[in-house]
Amino acid sequence: MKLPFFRSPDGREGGTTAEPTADANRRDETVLPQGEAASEESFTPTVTAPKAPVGPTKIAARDISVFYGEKQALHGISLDIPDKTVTAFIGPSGCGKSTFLRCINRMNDTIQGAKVTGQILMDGQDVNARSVDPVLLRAQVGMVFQKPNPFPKTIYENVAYGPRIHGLTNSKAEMDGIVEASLKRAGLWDEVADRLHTAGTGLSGGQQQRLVIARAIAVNPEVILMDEPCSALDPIATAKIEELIDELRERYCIVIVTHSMAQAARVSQRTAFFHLGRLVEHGDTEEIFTNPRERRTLDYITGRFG
Amino acid sequence: MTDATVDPGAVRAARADALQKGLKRRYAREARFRTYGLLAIAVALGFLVLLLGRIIEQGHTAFYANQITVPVYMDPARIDRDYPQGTNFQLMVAQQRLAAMGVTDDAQGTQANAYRTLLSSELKFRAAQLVREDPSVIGQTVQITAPVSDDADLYLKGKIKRSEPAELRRISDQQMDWLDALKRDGTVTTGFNSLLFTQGDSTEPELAGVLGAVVGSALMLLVTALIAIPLGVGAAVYLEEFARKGRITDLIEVNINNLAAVPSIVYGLLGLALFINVAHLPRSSPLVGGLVLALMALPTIIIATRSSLKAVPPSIREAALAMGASKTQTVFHHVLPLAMPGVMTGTIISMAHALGETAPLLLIGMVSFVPGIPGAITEPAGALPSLVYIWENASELAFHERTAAAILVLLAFMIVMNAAAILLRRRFERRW
Amino acid sequence: MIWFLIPVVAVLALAAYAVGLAVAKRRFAGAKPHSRPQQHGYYALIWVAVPALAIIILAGIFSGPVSQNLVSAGLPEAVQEMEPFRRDAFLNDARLLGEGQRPFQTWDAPFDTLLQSEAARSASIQRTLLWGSIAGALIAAVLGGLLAFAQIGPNMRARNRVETWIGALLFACSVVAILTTVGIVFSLLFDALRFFERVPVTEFLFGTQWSPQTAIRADQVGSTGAFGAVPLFAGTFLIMLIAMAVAAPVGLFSAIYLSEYAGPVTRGVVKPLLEVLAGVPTVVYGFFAALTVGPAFREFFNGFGALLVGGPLDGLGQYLMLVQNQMALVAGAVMGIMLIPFVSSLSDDIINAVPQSLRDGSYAMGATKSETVSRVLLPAALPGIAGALLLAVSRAIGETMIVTMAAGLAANLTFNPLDTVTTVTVQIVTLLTGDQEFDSAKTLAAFGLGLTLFLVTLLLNIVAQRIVQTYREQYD
Repeated sequence: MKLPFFRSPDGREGGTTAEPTADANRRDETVLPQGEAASEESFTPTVTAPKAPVGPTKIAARDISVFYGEKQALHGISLDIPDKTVTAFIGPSGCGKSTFLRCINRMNDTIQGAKVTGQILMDGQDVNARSVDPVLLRAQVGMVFQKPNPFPKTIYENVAYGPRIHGLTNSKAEMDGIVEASLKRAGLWDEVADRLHTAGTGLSGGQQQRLVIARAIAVNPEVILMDEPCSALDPIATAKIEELIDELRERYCIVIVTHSMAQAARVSQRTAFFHLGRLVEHGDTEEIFTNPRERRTLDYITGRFG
Repeated sequence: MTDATVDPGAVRAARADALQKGLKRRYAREARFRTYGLLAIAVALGFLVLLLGRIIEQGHTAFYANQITVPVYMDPARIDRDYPQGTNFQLMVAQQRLAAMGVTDDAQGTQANAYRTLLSSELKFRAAQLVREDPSVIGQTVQITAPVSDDADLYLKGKIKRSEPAELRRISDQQMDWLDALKRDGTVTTGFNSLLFTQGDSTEPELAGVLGAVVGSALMLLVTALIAIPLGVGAAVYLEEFARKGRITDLIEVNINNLAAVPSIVYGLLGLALFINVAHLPRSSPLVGGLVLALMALPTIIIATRSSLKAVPPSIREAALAMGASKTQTVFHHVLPLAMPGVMTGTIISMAHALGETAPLLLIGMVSFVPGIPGAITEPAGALPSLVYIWENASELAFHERTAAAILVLLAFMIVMNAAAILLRRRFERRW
Repeated sequence: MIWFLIPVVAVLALAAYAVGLAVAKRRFAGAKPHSRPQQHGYYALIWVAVPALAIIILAGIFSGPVSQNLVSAGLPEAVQEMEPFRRDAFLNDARLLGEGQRPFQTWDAPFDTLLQSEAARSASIQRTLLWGSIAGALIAAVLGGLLAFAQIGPNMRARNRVETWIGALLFACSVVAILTTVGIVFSLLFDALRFFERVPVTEFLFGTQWSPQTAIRADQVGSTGAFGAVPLFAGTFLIMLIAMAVAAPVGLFSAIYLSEYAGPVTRGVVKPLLEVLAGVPTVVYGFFAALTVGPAFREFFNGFGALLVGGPLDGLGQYLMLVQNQMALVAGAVMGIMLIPFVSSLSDDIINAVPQSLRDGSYAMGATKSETVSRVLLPAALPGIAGALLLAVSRAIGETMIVTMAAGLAANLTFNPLDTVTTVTVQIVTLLTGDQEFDSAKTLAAFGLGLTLFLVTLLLNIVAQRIVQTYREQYD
């Protein structure tokens, strides 16, 4: 078991504190050496994410703009997201990275007054096209949210939810198989195998988030979107999720929004930096972190603003 | 993993197929579900339309009435100038009219009696009044205008039809002919039913009005407002601003929530036992009614006031306290004035609710027949909702349209009160 | 009536304020006072008003019972020996006569003369009490004022004292809520216990015969009444079931549509209209039930029955042709309409309290709206909705006007919705309106029913509110 957080004893994990919205709760639980301020000024997280061959382009966004009523939240974003790769979206709060993420599975449809222009091509098909059914799209694109949101049902029913609504199974045995496989893939099986029929809300935060991931992969999606999946978790749970993300990379196209540059450096192969609703820079994570082209990117990842 | 060895393209195709297959069924279910929702709302609003429509349909005819204007020869042989109310003016007029028409009556006066029942007793009161004011009218012919009787009115409004079997209707073919003739020559005219708004209750539908009940309801609400508003606001201010959270305040809070849900008739029993049987307050009086309604309205006012006090941000309190104001000054100079629009909205709505409350009034005797218009909170009085109840129970058909009319008057008052509350909310609502 | 003293005390209190203000201003000359003169004025006002008002309120509440006790303590032998309920009636008439009102009944000799003398005695006792109370209140006002004026001075902490008084006053206001409950419990309990002295609790709760037509005097024939309340409970339950069968689905689906499907415009139109439906007084629903729904249902069933007569379902047809206006179905259905906005607004609140994250989670899985509602939102909101429905049940049980006007009086023990049934509330109204006999089992039975009604609805409310509160805290 590799725990990226504990692997580097030289204080590098201090990078997590550069996250601007780290809440009090989290700070309490984070076992930090000391000197947050010192590390904020001069420190750039080192990229430790496993190098991996970047897959072919899975999602191609072209000139995406999003309006919430009168307000424009995104300005003409164009970005290619490769398959079998973890792509991280970083940037200060309110920069539009979550908004962009929600365009990919059309979750903005559920917000009243939201309007999306431009194209997002997934395998060459525009997801915003009228012919694309958001229900089917979302079966293809799973999503994990900031706060773990298991349904108030049993663990089993939580995982079985997707296959059930989409009618993917024909028998109880098949469903059992899907639930077990999904929980195993989410690394939760060993912890819950003996209590599948207890409430999913009774699990710890980290377990809940892995349950939600299991729920998402139970319908066998092609893309998994993660909206700050670790921001409500403690460091140990965070490490487990990060490890899981790395394993899932082999099968899915993963997009993760994160406030923590250190996390982006640890898990992603590609990084895109958003600022004020615009895509400032994107590229290989290593390059963004070691050799950014834009001054703003450098300032942000070294913690000069955020 | 089961699918690891299978060709991924084939798996995807199979999966997409499976998804597609279920989709039609799922969307059908979605459409059905949405229809249920729409249907439910349509049912609820449909009932509202039906309810109001039926009441307007039944009640609008009560706002106009038919009245007869006849020349009356004040026959000195039949009128005692000292006791004019002893004269049967209706019969006298009926006989005069029949004579003018050249109809000869039988010995029992059957025709005259039939004609007489078309005239209301108001004719007698007005004629007697004329004589009392000026005895010199005796021997002269004067024009008198008075409402026609309730059955005649119903026929002229088309609510009793000639096509109905004669033995089932309260008005004969001949009476109908007379009325038609009177209508044709303009002796009977249709006009606004002012009696409905200027009279108290009466046993005769054509003379019954809602004014007594309106005044009774107003007196009652006055008592309710004077008691419930200060007590309710005071209790809410105490619970929200002064009380230390503890067992007593918890108890009061649970207690208030439960009081708000106690059936209204139980308050009627309380009023009967406490205010009438123990305190010997006058039965059927707006005082007792107002007290009962005040106790009923109290929890609602407390709850509404507390929630608008809660909505005032703590920064206001801190600012005032930091200026050296005492707790009391902070509350009464700053917090309460800011919460006032919400308090008034809640209060008006609870008053409107109290206005429509009927069940407790039945038990404290506000359903007895009270003619005339009450002058004080200790006199027997009716109230609008109890008038509706009394008239609905009355056997005369003419009371039915008046019941609906009384409901319309009641609803009009409630709409005015609720509109005032909404306006207040719109005008002064503040988002913190 | 002692209450007319209240405006007098109010004037006195305002005068005390003015005097206090003037006195304070004069005494403060040159000194730096602790409190402002106005606060001294308020201090004087409180000391005049509060003791006097306390005496007035106490006198108003207790003068009735006290004078009653005094009158009955000095009764002549002949009256003492009367049967208790006749004696009470006699005393009541004596009081009425003393107050210048007409007695309820005429009394034979020797009671007619006794009534006159007792009336005079009762009147004089009441007069003494009244004048005593008036004198007490005025003396209290004057003494209080003098006490306050004497204390006025630069060092007196008038503001603090006034604020202590205000705090106490506000506390007293909130105690009224508790006193109301105590009042309800005692007024119900007192008369209900007197009822249960005559009719055993078990007979009341488990008896299946209800015919409370007890005669006025015990020596009259046919004076036995039956007080088995089971038919009333069954009728109440039946009408409640019908009402909930209408209100629960319609209210719940309206709430779901409004919170999950409707846009802001629809919500802005429909919600106020539902509030209108909620604001319609119940007597109007009763009118609607009695004169519109009842005849319409009867005509429908009679017509339907006429079609069946002669066919294979002849018996049913015969029965349907005889169905009357006052059936349980009419009262229940109209009550259900009345409850729709109640259920809908409570459920709306509860569904809205389900966190958005659960909706997002479900939509992100590709669920449709109906799947999200029925598989995620409703299960999550279930306890809250159960609580809301319980509150609606409590409303339905306590509702009076609709059933009084549309349900009827016949105490049939039946679960046939086309039959006439009666309810607890209808019987309370019937027993207590019209000719009331003083202190008869018939009158007291209403309090027995009232106590039952109060306890049942109280239990329902407590349970429902506990459930709803726990539910809300879960998502706070």
